[in-house]
Amino acid sequence: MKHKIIFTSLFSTAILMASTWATANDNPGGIGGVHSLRGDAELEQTRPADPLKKVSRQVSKLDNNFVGQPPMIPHHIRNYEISMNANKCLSCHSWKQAKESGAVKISVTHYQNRSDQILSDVSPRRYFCVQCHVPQVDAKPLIKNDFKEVESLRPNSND
Amino acid sequence: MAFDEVHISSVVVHVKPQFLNTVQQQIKLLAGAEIFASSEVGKIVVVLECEKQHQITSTLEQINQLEHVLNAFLVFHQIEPKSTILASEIEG
Amino acid sequence: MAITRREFIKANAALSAATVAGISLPASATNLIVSSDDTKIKWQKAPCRFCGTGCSVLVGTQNGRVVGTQGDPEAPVNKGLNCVKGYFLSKIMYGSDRLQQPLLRMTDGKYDKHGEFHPVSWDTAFDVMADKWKQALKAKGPTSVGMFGSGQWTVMEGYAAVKLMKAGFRSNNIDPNARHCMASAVGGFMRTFGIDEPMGCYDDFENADVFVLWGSNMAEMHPVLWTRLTDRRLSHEHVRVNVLSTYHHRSFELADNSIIFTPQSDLVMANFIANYIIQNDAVNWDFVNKHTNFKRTATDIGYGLRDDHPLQKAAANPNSGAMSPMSFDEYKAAVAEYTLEKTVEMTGVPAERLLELAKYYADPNLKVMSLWTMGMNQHTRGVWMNSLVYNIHLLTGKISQPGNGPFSLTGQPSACGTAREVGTFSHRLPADMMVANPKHRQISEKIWKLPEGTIPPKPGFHAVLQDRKLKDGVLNAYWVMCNNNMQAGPNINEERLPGYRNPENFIVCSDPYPTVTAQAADLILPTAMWVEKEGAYGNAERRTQAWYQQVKAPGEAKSDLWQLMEFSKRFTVEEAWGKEFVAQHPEYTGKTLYQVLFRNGQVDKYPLSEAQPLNDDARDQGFYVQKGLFEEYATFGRGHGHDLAPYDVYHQVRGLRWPVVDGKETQWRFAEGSDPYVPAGSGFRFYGKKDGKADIIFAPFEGAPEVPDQEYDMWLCTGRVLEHWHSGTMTARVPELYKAVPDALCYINPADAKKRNLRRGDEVLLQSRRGEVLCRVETRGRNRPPEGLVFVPFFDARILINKLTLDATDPLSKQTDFKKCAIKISKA
Repeated sequence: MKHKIIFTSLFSTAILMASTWATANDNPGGIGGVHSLRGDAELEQTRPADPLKKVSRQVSKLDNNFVGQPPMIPHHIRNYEISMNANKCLSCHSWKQAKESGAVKISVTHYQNRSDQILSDVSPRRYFCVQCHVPQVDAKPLIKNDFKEVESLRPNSND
Repeated sequence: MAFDEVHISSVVVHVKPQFLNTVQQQIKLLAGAEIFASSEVGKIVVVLECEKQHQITSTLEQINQLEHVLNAFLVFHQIEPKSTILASEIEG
Repeated sequence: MAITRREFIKANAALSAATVAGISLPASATNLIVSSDDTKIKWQKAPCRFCGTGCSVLVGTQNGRVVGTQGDPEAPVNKGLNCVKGYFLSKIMYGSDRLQQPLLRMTDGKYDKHGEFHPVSWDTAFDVMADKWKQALKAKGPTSVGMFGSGQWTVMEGYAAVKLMKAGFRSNNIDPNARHCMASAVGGFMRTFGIDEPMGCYDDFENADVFVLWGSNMAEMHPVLWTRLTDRRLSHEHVRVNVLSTYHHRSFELADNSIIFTPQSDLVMANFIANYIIQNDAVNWDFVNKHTNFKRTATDIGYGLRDDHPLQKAAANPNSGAMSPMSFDEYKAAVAEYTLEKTVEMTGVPAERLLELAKYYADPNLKVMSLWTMGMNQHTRGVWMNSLVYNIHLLTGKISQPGNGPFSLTGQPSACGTAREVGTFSHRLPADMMVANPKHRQISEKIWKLPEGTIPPKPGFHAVLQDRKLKDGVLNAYWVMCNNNMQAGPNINEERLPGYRNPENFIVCSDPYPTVTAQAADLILPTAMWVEKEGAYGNAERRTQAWYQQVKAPGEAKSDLWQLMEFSKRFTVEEAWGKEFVAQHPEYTGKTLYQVLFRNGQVDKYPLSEAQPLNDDARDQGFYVQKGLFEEYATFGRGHGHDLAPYDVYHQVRGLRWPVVDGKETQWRFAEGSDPYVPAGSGFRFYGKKDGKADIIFAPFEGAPEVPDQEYDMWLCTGRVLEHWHSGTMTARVPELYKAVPDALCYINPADAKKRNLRRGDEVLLQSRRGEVLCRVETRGRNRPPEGLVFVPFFDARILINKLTLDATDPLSKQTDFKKCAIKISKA
């Protein structure tokens, strides 16, 4: 681990020095010790790109932090077509298909239209699933989030 | 698969105010329906607990079909694995 | 006894339904279902913190913290829906690096621009800051101080800021980040209609037959409006969707007619459609004769670059917005050159697709809704382009009717409500008034109870000009509030960063989180956000929505409003206005800016007792400050086409669309029967113009300032993504949103990738004439550019794509074109 840190910082320095747009004179106080989503990289630095991340299959579909949170997608959706012709998500998650596929059925709220009428099929306004449901990559958050679920929703809160 | 789940949902029912009590009585008879609140202006808050998703819509449809009901719509829906619900009940 | 999970979920189900129904649960029910007060959740409404759609959400709080949010089923805008960002609003305030104390660059306990940041008290922070402002004012006068604000300010914050800058410091150097976002739309509205903001409303979505997206990826940027459009398209077989863009994106998934055009050639397409309408006798003569005038605009107007830039010098009429009348026949002749053949050639769009689009507009039986966002506004001819689309709607009379109308969508939650309506631009005053207009200054000074001549007549420095003036050492004391301009503004390397680093300058950044702007500043002020304060926003359909404070801000974080007002206490009018000016108005002698601006008998009219028990801003000032500011502001617009309801009403309803006259909101402006300002019998009246007629303004195609050449051989288009809000300050701190889209990628055509021997995931060096960044390529993602163009989002602070963009603007609106510059790409 330690080796990795040293390597990264050496690499960063090399990039910094190579950059045409950064000289020490232009940068009196630098970032002044404050870290951002960029970490501690100076703004003038051409920061190496982080590696591409893989979609995680470890997302628990029922691991909700609060009521009304849309469940995450616990698989990748590369090349899934959602268009006027086809909706790959519904081919497993619709009520009709879920029995066979064993996939999570979409919520009954999705069968209600704007005027609160119940429809026999998914409401067209809910058609584009990925507006609310998104896959998760296997990565550590950039910044820790201190959001706290209400007591009763915390995992194992009753154990 | 389906029997692993508990569906909890809530519904707001708008009724003609003069028939508030009548409608409440009818809703109470529906399986899994509990009335949590109501208002003189003709609004009822109903919580539904079912094992299958389609029961929610059918109950909602039943409520909508009741005489004197102007509108009933879903507000909330959460699917819980039965195991979590049961576990918490045993220990809670 | 602990409450069981089942009971808890049921209690919440009941509570959210009760909130929606507007009734409270009886004590017996709550006692029964909730074992103690600790487990009760309080649900209150608030508009979403993110985009200009203006969804309403229900915010659940417990023990002083937000524990959940959900779509508000009662809200007409979103009817219970949110996008993925909206569903995670509950987490935006809880990033573990929230700023909780002011931070000042210091060496040995003293301010030093070369120093590291150290925590200081608010007193010290304001002492140092006020000292810098006073030095600047004394040495160079009001033009040496400035502020960069936001379309994410609340209405009251924007109003307090504009008042503090224009009347307090007598400086027009205040501009919002909405300049980057909406200025061209404003320019288009003002030129064509003489009054800002859309005539239609979101109800148009349920009434239109045809939708045309002119440079807007609504599927990602206005997701909830996209649900309404999708609903309409999928529920009604006859409805058609046309999507126009320079690259293929998610909105194309719903497109019946997909149009990928060469950058900048939208000007050609719009003129072609006008020409088609005339050639095919589809002009609505009754409407055109009664309600329009024809004009032509000055051409060859440059690119809003520095005056000594070769492109500016080469322009015949740099920055000219001059218009001259023309006849219909002259207009007809002007658009006649935009033939189908020429349009196919210049746009690269197949003829049949152009014809299909033109026919929808020309067909009198189809209601057409045109929609646009940054594709048209972030454009060096954005003002022209906005008007060219209005031309089409005016020629056919398809405007101000349900389902029929041009609709400019806004990016930010209060770009309309705060930036535009309040007038936080360098040239504006509230209610569409201008600093350059003596009458408008007079009206403002009267409402503000200030001496005549307080407001300076010359427009101040707009966004990009502020960067240039900082770099040149002309603007020295600078406050960046409620935005992350170091990341979001153009040309970081050549203009803005050198400006912040300039030893003559003192830069203050107010933000809830340490952004790259904060990292480049000299003083960082910790800021309360969203439901940590009371406020109001105005969305894209003129809907004003208010919310109450629901939780306290962490540590010493304070709202922008508090910061503005407290800062005003540190200046006497002598210090701010100059002794000479005060001598002419001796009744102000010795008063502070706070006293004259905010204790004027109007802003402080409403007692603290009227405010909610939890309202830190009101408590700190001792009066109901939000109501006072709102009501004083509302006097600007009442009776002048911008009427707002009494403030308290906005806490009871899910927003109202102005003008609100006699308690009634307005859905379609300029239309008789819907808009109370249109006299009976007139049908339509474009009352922003003296003669009640809208202008059809001819403007030709003019090319982009920087186009790909042999060396810099690719177009770079930048923009947003669904999962992140702008620069990611809030959303990248929500684990679920970060994990959904962790890195900004360079979306590239597979053929272009192959030419450079690139595979998906490879690291590439992107270089423009102004900077370079490293990022990874995506060849198969949600955006699929044509050959010769790449798309890179700007949310990623680690990449800072705006190091590459050019600070060329529309010369009229001063809005940057973030969609077009030339870059080269090589494997890293």
